[in-house]
Amino acid sequence: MEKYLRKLAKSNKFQCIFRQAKDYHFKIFDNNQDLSKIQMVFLHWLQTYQNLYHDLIIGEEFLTEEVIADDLRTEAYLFYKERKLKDKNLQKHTVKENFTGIPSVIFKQKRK
Amino acid sequence: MEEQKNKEELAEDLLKTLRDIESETEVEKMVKDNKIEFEMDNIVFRVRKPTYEEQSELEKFRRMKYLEYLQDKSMMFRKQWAELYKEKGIDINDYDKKMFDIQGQIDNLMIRLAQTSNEQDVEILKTDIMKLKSEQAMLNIEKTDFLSYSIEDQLMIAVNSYYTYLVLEVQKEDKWERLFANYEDFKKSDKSKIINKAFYFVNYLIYSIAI
Repeated sequence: MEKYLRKLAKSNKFQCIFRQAKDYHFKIFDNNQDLSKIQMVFLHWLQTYQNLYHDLIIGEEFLTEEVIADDLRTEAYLFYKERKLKDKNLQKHTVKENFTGIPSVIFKQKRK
Repeated sequence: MEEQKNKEELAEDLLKTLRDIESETEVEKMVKDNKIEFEMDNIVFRVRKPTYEEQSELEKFRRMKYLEYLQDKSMMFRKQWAELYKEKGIDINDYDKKMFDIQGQIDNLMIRLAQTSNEQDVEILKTDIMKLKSEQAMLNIEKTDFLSYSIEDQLMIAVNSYYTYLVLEVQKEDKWERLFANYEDFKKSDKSKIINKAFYFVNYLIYSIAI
C-alpha cells in the first residue's frame, strides 16, 4: 500500500495538483476536513516529495533522480539529511552554550 | 527456447504492470475521499469515518469492555504476561533490545547507502538492509504473538471490531445503510469475507486506537 501511495505522491500529476492546491486553494480530496489516516499519510508523502524535488533542483549532495525513483534509497537520503541536520544543530547548540554574552573578566596581576 | 522464455518474461512483466496499475488506481480511489468503497459479488460496500454520536458510542463500548476485562481473572496486562513468560524462561524485553540493536545496524547501512552511487554497492547495501528489516519484522511478529492475549491487545481488537460494525455500510439503490442492525448480528455473521475486507480498510481510515 505504502509503495503505491508513494508512487502516486511523487507522480507529476499529484505534485502538480499539490502545488495548485497550495497556491490557489485547489482541492486535493473530496472532503475538506476529517481526513482519513491514508489521506494524512498521502499528504505527508506529497510534501516530502515536493521537498525532494526542490533539493534535486538546487543540487543537494547525493540526491539524484535515481534516488527518488528508489523508495529505499530515498529513505536512506532522508535519514542521512535528518542526521546531518541534527549534528549541525547539536554543534550550534554546543557553541551557543559557551557563549554567555557577558564580557570576559581578565584578572591581571598588579605590577609591583 | 530463448524466444519462448523471453515471451514468458514479457507476459509476466505485463501482468505485473497491469497489477500495479490496478493497485495504483485502487489506492487513488481510497485517497480521494475519507470513505472507502469496495465491491464483492456485485454488491457495493463502504467504510467511512464515524459521526460524533458513533464516536461516543465507541467510547462507551471501549469503557464497558475494559471494565469487563479488568473483572475477568483470566485476563492480564502485557506487563503481567511478560512477567509470566520470564518465569518460563522467555524474556519479552529481550525482543525490544534485539530489535533496537538491529535498528542501529540498519541506520548505519542507511547512512552508507545514502552516500553511494556505485550500483554494485547500492545493491549489496539494499539486500543487507532488507534482510535486517525482515529479521526485525519477524521478531516483532513473535513478540506480538506472545502478547496477543493481553488486555491491551484484546481491547484493541474488540474496539476495532466495534468500529467496523459501526461504519460498514451497504449500497441499496442510491442509499447507504448499515450492513448489520446490531453488534450481535455482526459478531454472529458468516459474512467473514466482507467483514475481513472492511476490517482491513478501516485500518486505513483511522489511526491505531490508543488504549
